Amino acid sequence: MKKWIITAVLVLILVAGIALGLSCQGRYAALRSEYESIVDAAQADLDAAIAERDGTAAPDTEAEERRIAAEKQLIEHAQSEIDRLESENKELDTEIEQVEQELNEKQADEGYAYYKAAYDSWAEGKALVESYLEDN
Amino acid sequence: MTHGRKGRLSLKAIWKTINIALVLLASAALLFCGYMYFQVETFYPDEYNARADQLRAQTQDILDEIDRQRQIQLEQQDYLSSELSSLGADGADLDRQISDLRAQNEAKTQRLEQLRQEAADAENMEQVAMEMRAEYAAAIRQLEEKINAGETDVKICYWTFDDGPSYYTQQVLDTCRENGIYVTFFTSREANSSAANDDPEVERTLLRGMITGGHAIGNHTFSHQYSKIAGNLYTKGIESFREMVQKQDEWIFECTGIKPDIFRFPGGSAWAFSSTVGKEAMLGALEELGYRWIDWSCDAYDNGIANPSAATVYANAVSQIKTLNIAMILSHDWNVNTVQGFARAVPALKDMGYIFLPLFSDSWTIDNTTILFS
Repeated sequence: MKKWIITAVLVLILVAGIALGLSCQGRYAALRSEYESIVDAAQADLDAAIAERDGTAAPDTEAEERRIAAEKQLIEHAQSEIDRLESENKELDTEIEQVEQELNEKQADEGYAYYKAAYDSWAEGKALVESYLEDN
Repeated sequence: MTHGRKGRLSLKAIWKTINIALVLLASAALLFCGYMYFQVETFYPDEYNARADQLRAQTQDILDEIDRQRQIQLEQQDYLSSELSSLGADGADLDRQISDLRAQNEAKTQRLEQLRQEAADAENMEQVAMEMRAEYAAAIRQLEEKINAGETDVKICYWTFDDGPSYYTQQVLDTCRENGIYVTFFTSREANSSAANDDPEVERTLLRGMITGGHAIGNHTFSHQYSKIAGNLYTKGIESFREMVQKQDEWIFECTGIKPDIFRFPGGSAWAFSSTVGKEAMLGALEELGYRWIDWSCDAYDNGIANPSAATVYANAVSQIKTLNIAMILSHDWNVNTVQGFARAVPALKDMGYIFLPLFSDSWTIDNTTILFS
């Protein structure tokens, strides 16, 4: 009887030991798997971010930069043209002023006023006659 | 080993062996269990968490970098778009400025050309005025031809005033200006004595007023002395006649700067041609001096002793003129009734379709006027 008890205990110890050992092993494996999967997920996210970074191409701005350069050149030409036109404008103003002054001096002459008045009257009369020539 | 009868192992030995094996196995199991338990108990997730955190941090850095790059690209795009838009607006603005400046310059160039033309005309205003006068005369000639051809309903009244300028000449000029009409003055320096023509400056002003008013001035001789007893026009020979024509010619030119080229005989051609000077001689003198002569077709009957009222002058004029498509009426601006009758007659004749024009030497009427009323 005593032998059987000892044997049974030994067997129990054996079985329990194996059971507990396997249980602990399983738990250890689960723990390790869980945390390794967390690390793997983080690694996968990193790899995805790297792939996204490497896959994103910089936009091509060359066409726009060429357009900008062309616009600037056009503006430069336009500004030169404006400068030229303004200069021409001033010259015209000066010439107009000079001719107006000459004209005023001539028109201030009594003889001019007399003939101008005669001219205006004859021109008016001529227009009247021509209106009758055209109407009929 | 205790062997039983003849060398067989005893049960007790076998049982002992089994127990020993069980002990060994149980020990091993306990060791295994203990080892695994130790593994479990000593499992530290910190390393994994740290590694995962490190990886997440790297991932976040990369994501942040991606965001920054995108932001930079967006800003760059925005900048380029904004720059383009701004340049475009600037360019459009400059184009408008250029367009405005070109329009201004064109307008100023035209203005300059116009001013230069005016200055040139002003320099040659006399010539320009005389050219316009010639064009005016040509247009009147055309209209006369149309009237004679029956191609128009308009009619012409050549209203002439003889013997002036006089005290009332300015009233005639005023009436003409108010009505927009033109007349002809056959002037004589000494035809009548009045404040107007006694003062040469007053007469000069009136003669120039005739020109600036668009009227015609004719020569009616300097003296107007056609009396068969004491006159110097038709009784003292051709030289006296020529002298009187030439003096008046020079007087008109001196006052107006324009040489007259139409002439009316004081007393009319019938009176003149019946004189001793002779028609051919007088016509020769007039041609040499550059004149064409004319009588009249209608008469206001305002000369002489009759001295009709303004109403009578008006009635005379209207009743005679309306019988003609082109009428030439004789009157005298030294008669106040004539001047007033004229002012009444003008609107009435205009209503009848008459226009009042000055007489020029190339008028058809010069050669085709006969006295119908006198």
